[in-house]
Amino acid sequence: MSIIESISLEPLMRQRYSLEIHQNSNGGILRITMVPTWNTNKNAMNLLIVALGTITGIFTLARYVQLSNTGQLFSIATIFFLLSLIFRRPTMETLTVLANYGVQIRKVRGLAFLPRSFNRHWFAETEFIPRDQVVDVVINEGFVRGFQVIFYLAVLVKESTKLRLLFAVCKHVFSLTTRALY
Amino acid sequence: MVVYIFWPKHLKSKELHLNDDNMCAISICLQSTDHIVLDIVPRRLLEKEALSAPYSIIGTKNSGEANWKFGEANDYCTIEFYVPNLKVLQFFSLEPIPLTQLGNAANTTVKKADYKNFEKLCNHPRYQSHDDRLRRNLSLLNLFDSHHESFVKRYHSLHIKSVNVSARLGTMMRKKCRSSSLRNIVSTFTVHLVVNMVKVAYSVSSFLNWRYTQLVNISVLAQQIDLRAQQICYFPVQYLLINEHHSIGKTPPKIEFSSEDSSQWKEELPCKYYPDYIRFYNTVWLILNDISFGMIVGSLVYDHADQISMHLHRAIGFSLYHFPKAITISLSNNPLGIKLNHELAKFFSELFLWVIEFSNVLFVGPMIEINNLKCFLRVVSQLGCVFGGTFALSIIVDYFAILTFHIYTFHRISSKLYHWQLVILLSLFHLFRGKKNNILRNRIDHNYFKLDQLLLGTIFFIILVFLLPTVLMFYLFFTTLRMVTIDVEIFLESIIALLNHFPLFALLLRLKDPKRIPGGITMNELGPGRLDLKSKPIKISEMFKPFVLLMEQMKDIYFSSKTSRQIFLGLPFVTHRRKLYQILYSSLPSTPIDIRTFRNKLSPHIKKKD
Repeated sequence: MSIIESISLEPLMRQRYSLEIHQNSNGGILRITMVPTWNTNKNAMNLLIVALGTITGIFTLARYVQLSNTGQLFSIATIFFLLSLIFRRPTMETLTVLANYGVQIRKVRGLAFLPRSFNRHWFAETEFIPRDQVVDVVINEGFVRGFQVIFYLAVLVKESTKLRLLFAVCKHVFSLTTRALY
Repeated sequence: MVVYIFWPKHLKSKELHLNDDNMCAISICLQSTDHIVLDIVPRRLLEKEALSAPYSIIGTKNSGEANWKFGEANDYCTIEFYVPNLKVLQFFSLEPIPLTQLGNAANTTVKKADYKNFEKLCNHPRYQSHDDRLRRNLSLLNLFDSHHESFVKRYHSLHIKSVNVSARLGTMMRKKCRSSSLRNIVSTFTVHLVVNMVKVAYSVSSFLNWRYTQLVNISVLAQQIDLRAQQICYFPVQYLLINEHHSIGKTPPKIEFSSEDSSQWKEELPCKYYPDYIRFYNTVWLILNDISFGMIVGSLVYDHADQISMHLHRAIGFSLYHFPKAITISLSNNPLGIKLNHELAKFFSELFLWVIEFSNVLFVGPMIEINNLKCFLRVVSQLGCVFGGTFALSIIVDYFAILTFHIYTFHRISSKLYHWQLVILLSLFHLFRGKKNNILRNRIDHNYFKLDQLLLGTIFFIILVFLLPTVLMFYLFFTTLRMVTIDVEIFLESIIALLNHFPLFALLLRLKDPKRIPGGITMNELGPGRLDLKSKPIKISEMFKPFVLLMEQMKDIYFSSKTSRQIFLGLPFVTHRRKLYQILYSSLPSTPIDIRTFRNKLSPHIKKKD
C-alpha cells in the first residue's frame, strides 16, 4: 500500500543521510523522513558519553566534595540531566504533505536514553503551514562556510520574513513534493 | 482526488456501544467545506426520516464489520479530533492567537522596502488560487457543539433526550437572583463609581503626557502612575468587548444553520475577543500580585529598616562622596603614572571637588543621613503595601536618580568640554591642511589663509592636542560612573517591567489547559488513511517576546557600537523612556479612550444581564 524508497545522497556530504518516503495509496498523504545513517551508532556513542560523564561525576564528587546523601543524589541527577541535554540523539526531520491542506515539518531531537517512540511523542517540534499560506516550494542556492555552494529546499510562506528551510536534498524529493501538494 | 472526513473521537465509544447494529454516520457539509461527522445512529431509525441538505449519510457499517464503508469511489482519509469545548473557550486556530497588540510598535522596525520582491512574487498570477478549505473546516469544527444541537433539534426521533434535573434547578435559582431590586441598586452604584474613576484616570494620564513637559520621560514614578491610569481607562472597554460575546457559550446562535453559506457565522467565534479576555484577566491578576508582593517586601523592609539604613548610609556615602572625591584628587596628581597637564588637571579637579562638596552639603548628605533614610524606607514600605511593589520600586528609582544627579552633571560637563575640544581640533586640523568647512554646502573646501592665521591656528592645534589626554581622563572617569548608575537604574526598571507585564495568565493557561491557547495544529498519522488533529499550544518563548524585544532595544541604546561611537565623540545619551517601554505598553491601546463615548453603553448593559 505504501511506496518506500531509500536513497543515499552524494558521497561528498560528510554526514550521510538516507531518505524514507511513504505515500498513501490514494496519494493523499506523503511523508518524507531524513534519517541519518549510523543513527543507532551515533546514539549509542552519545549514550556512552552520558553514562561515562555521570560516573566520573559521581567519583569526583565522592572524592572531593563532602555532601549529605540527598545532596549527592541531587548533584548526580543534575549532572545526568545536563549531560543528556547536551549529548542528544541526532536530529530526524520529517516532512508530511497533505493534499490541499498544507505542509507539516517535524523535528525530533530527543534524549539519548529514551526509546524512539517516546521521543517522537514528547520531544517533537512540529510546524504546520496551511495551504493558503504556502506560496511555493523552491530550491535555492546558497553559500555555506564561506565558499561552498549548496542547494537547499525551502518553503515560501506568505506574510513571513523568513524562508522555512527543509532538509538539504536533491531534485527527486522536489518533484514528488510538488505533485503531492497540488 | 482525496476526500477528507472529520471524525470526532467521542463517537468511537458510541460505536462500541452500538456494535451489534447496522450503523450510519451522518455528516454535515456546507459550501466549500469538507464533511464533518456529527453523529452515528442505527440504520433502522433513519428509515423513517429522510435527511435533507446540508446533512447527509456519509458512511455505513454493518454489525460485526471492522471498517466503515464510505460511498463513492473516491479515496477517503479520516481525520480524528477531540471536539473543542467552546464553553471553556477551547478552539482550533491555524495561527497563534495574538496575545499582544504588537502591530503598532514592533512592525515599524521591519523595513518594507526589503520585501518588495517577495510581494511581487506573491502577486504573480500563478499563485493566486487561495485555497482556504482547511480554514473553513476548522471554523466549522470550532462550532461543532452548536451544529450538533441544531441537528438534534431538527431530527428529534434520532435521539433520546435525558432530562437533567439539577441543571434546571440551578438555572431557575440563578434567574430568581438576577431580578431582585438589590442587584439594580448595586449595579447602578458600580457603574457610577467606575465612570468616575475612569474620568480621574483619564485626566491624570493626559496631565502626565502633556506635550510640553513630558513628565513620563523624566520620572519612573510618573510612568508607573500613567500605566495604571491607562489600564483603569481600558478596563471598561475590555469588559464590554468580552461580555458582548459572552452569549456564545450559553445559548445556540440565532443564525439558521442549515443555510449553505459558511462564512456568515465567522464573527461568532471566540478568536476575536479572546486576546482581550486573556489581557484583561492578566492585568487584574498582575495588579493583585503586585499589591501582595508590595505587602511582603514592604513589611520585611519596615521591620529591618534600621539595619538596612545603616548599611545603605555607609555604602552610598562611600560610592557617591568619598570615591569620586578621592579619584578626582588622584587625577590631578598623575594617575597611573601618566603625566597630565598639571595646571589644567588641578583646575578641573578643584572645579569638580567644589561641586561634589556643594552637592554633598545640599542634597546628598541630608538624603542619606541615617534617620532620614530610616524615615524614607518606612514611608516607601507603607506606600508599597497600599499601592503595590512597582510603586515602591519606582519611588526608589527616582530617589536614586536624584541622589546621583551630581554624577549626571559631571558627565554632561565633561562630555561637553571633550566634545568642544574634539570639534575645535578637527576644524584647526582642516586649517592646517589649508581647507575649511563650508557650512552652506556641507563639505570641505579649499581656502586661502593668511600667514598669521595659519601660524596661530597651528599653535592652538598643538596646545589642544597636548591638553587632550587630561580632558580625556576626566571624561572617561565620569562616563564610567554614569554608566554604572544607568546600569543600576536599568536593573530596577527591568524588575518593574517584569512585575507589570509578566504573561502570568497565559503561562498558567498553558499549564492547566493547553487547548485554550492554540498556536497552530498538528496532524499525526495514526494508521493507513487515518490522521490525528491536535491543537498545538503557543510556545513559551512567544509569550515572552515583548521582553526579548525590549532587551534588544535596550542593548541597542546602551551597549552597542552606537554607544561606543557616542562615547568617543562625547555626545550624551538621551533616552525617551516612553518610546523605550512603548513595546510593553502594547497590551493597551495607544491613546486612552474617553469614557464619554461609551458611557451610555455601560449602564444598560449591566441592567440587561437579568
